[in-house]
Amino acid sequence: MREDHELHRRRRSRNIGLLVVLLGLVALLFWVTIAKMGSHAGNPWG
Amino acid sequence: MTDISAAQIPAVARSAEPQFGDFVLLLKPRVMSLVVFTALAGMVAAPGSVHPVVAMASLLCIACGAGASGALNMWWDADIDAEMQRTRSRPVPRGMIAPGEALGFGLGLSVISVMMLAVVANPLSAGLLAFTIFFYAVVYTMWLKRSTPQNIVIGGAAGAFPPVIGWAAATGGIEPAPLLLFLVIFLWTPPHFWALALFRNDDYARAGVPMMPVIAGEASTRRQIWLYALLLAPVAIAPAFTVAGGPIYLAVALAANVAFLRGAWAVSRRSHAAAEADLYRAEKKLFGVSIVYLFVLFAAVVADAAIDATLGAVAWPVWY
Repeated sequence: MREDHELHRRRRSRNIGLLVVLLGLVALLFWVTIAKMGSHAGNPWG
Repeated sequence: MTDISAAQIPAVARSAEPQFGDFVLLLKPRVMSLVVFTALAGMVAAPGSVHPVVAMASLLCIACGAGASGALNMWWDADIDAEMQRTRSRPVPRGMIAPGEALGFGLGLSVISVMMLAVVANPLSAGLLAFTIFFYAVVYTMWLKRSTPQNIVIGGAAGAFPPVIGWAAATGGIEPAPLLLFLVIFLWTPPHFWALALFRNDDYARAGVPMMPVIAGEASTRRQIWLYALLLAPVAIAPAFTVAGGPIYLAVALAANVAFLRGAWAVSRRSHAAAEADLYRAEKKLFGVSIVYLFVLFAAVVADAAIDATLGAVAWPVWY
């Protein structure tokens, strides 16, 4: 079981990095959607 | 090509867990920064305006596409990377990332970046990005790099595409101005890499990579550096008279070309013995000058575009 803990510790930085990347991707897709809607179909937020 | 013997991978490294930073290194971040910068220049020089969020997302896609081709390059070249001093600390030869992981990462990122660029910008820019990844990973890395001393001459096209992709992402089309910017990087690549190859000749020879100094010898490489520098100078000045250029670009291009020609001339006049005596000082200097050269040229493109955007178009002859 100790080896599992060690494995989790070693993978922590990679998992946190991946989390940040995925959250960034969600935010980017959201803002791109808003920008595209603004330029092509009227801006529902404005 | 990626079969690395167990002896080439340190035993400690083989049992190590790849960290997030190792995957970042797989993307060749330094090359990626140059790609982003030249693509940004192509984008801001293009007529019309792009929504800042769309521009940022497009640049991110182009950066990821460039990174993906870097990962595919490291997967294929893991065996020769392990042989060369300059590349042996890369994640695959170091044993931090398995070749299969690098391949999967590169392929996955290629597909995602191309599809995202098609959605965020337009199909033309996405198609150009896909072709660039293919050209770098397959045409250059798998085919040319190990088979001909013209490897970086033809392969240089892959590095020259980003300003065209940036322009296409902004406008949906291609004009003479981004094609000239393409030619600038294309003609800049041989003297840039051959300056490096001259002082890393032993590395390339040991790895069996047929770089120009290994195959044609130092004297021929030095002559060709000078020839390419001569060819590059007028091509690098020409964008000043396109919609991508302006007075700042002209002034910067003239000064940068004088410095580059002087460096190339100095390298072309040297003998092997003279270079050995001062540890390839002139060649290292030319390599450094070439990096600054490309950076200032594209920074000038951005500066002229910024002036046009803030002060309005200045009276300047635009020929094409």
